Amino acid sequence: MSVEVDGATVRLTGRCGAEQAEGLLAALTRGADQVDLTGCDHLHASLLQLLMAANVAVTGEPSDFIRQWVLPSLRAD
Amino acid sequence: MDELFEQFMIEGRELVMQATDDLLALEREPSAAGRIDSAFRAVHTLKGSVAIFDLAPMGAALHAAEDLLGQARSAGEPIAPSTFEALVACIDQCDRWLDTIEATGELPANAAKDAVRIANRLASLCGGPDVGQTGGTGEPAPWVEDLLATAPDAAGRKQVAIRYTPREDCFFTGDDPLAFAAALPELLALRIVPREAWPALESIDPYRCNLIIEAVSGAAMPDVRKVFKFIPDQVELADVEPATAQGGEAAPATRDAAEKTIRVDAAEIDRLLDLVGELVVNTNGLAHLAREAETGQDPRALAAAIRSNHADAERLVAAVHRSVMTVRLIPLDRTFRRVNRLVRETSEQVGRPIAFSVSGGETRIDKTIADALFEPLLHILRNAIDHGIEAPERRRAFGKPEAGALTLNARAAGDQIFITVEDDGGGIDSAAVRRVAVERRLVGAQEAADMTDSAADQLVFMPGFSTAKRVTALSGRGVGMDAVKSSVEGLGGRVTLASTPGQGTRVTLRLPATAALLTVLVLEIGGERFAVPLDSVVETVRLPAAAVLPVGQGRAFVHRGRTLPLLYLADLLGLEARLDKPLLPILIVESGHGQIGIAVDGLSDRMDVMLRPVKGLLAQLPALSGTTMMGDGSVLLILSLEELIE
Repeated sequence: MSVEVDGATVRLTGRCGAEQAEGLLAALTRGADQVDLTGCDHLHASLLQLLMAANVAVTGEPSDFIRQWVLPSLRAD
Repeated sequence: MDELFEQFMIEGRELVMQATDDLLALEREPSAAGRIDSAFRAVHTLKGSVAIFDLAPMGAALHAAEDLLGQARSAGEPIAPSTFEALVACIDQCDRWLDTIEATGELPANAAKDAVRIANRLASLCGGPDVGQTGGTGEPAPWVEDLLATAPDAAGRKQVAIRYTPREDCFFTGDDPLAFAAALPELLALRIVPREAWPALESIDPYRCNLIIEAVSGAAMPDVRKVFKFIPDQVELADVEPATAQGGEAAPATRDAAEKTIRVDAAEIDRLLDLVGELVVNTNGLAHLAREAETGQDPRALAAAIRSNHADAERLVAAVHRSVMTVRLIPLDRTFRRVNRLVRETSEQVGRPIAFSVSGGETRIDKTIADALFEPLLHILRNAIDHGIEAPERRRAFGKPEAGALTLNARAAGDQIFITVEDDGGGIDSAAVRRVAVERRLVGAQEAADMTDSAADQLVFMPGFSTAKRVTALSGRGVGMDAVKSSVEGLGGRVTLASTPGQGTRVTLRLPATAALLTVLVLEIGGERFAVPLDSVVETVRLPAAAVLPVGQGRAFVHRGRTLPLLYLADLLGLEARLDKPLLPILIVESGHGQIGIAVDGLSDRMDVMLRPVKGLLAQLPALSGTTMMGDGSVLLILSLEELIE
């Protein structure tokens, strides 16, 4: 459960909760334009809406639920 | 199911028309707020009806239109032209889909693709999904169709539609809306959209929830409800009945079948019922009279009573007939609004902007005529756009406004309806018409040269005539104005054309308001009785037998200083003529080549008849336009003089 920033890429792993929203927002406002969800077990809604608002590229293979049901909404947006 | 489907077709058409009407009014007057409301309601209602059937793509397109209209409505700002176009395109597409549904019972195969394109176009014009206006409570969540469209395996089973709008401060209470979504049993579709358009990242509040989660679950309602046990106020749930293939197959509604329905004012039915009541009394009176006759009543008194009873019956039948005719009268509106869309499409196709104005749609006409008018009217309008109105550059050169003015008007005059289509185009090139008519051997060169321009213009109505230099997809399909003429005449109407070079063309259709009752003239030929429609007879004269002049192989006679050809109806029908009378009864009729005389054995009375279409063996007979039953039970054949003369 962490938000790691590696240059322009943000990595979200484990169960990501609402407490990481501020960290993610800070990374996105600093210009991160790619989010890697490899190993992300769950994404809190507050994080999802930041990804939607920032309209960043999402890569990686998160958990089944996120991959099958949530990512389509993210990409459709 | 059938009844529901028919009802849907009727309402669907009406709602599409309403929406189109409102949108067109908005185009003219963008600030008409009432029209936005009305269009919104029409689209909303249509979307609701669509949801009952297996028409998910149509529902999705309408949903997008509704969102956009809802947003425009709450914004209170005029609709931008681009938005307007997208909305009209969406409604037009729905109209086309209704055509297909009416014909085949289902949407065309490419509907899903078209719907996605339309919905995307509308969504891109919409700042953000305006959820405030959608998903009204109480009705089955209509937003579910587009969800279902994204989940192909969702169709055909019972489902629960879920619309979960988390509270803005839900993050503070520890809720994770996505966790609720993940906990949903048997998830079939999920869509997450922002409640309001996303603000810039800099101004975003990460702890304010701005999501709407829509989902479809295949689980039972109680199981779904359990997930949202603690937040029932934030969730709308709706049972969705399985959409089976029944909708498509059980209702093989053809165009004809669906057009057979008509909406009737309840007051008219009440009036008919009253009349039936009176007819019952009248019939009972007959039974009473029969008993009187049995008891040996005075025949004179009895006859008087029977006559009075008959007079009553006659009055009642006439009243029933009038009432039924009124029921059959429908406003031309429906036909007019349908051509509206096609005029727009034609104008786009040929790249000629058109200012199309329609008036007199409230004029009422017999339903059969209103339905049958659609094709000819469309043809005339397309002709006007394709051949009448000039290309924009040419119009500019002539100092005309770039958009061609095209008007469609209807008005009633007595029991006749006049429908005019008028354009401000180049008018008919009479010289070209003459040339083509001669080339195609429709008239002789001398005959053409002798014609006045306006007479030459009428040549466009001749079969096999088409002046189009290029064959377009629109009007160059081998059906010309002759097809218009024959269908209008088939409805008991007349079509005329007037053109002023450089200023435009006007086509006028004159039609009877009621189709079913026809005044005929009864004739005797070869000992048999026939009838011809009275309106095809210009006048009747009686000619001394000696006044018939043999001309070559034919005959002629002089009438009002002109020599007219004379035909014997008995010859035309292959019957034995009885020309033993000193005065020959002659009908003067208008033919394609001026007036001619038709001799008959005898003229009987004129009468109003209910024309029945010719069926079975009789249908093989040429020149028979219908039959009617005479008072003595015999059948009277009604001839079509035009066809006989041909």
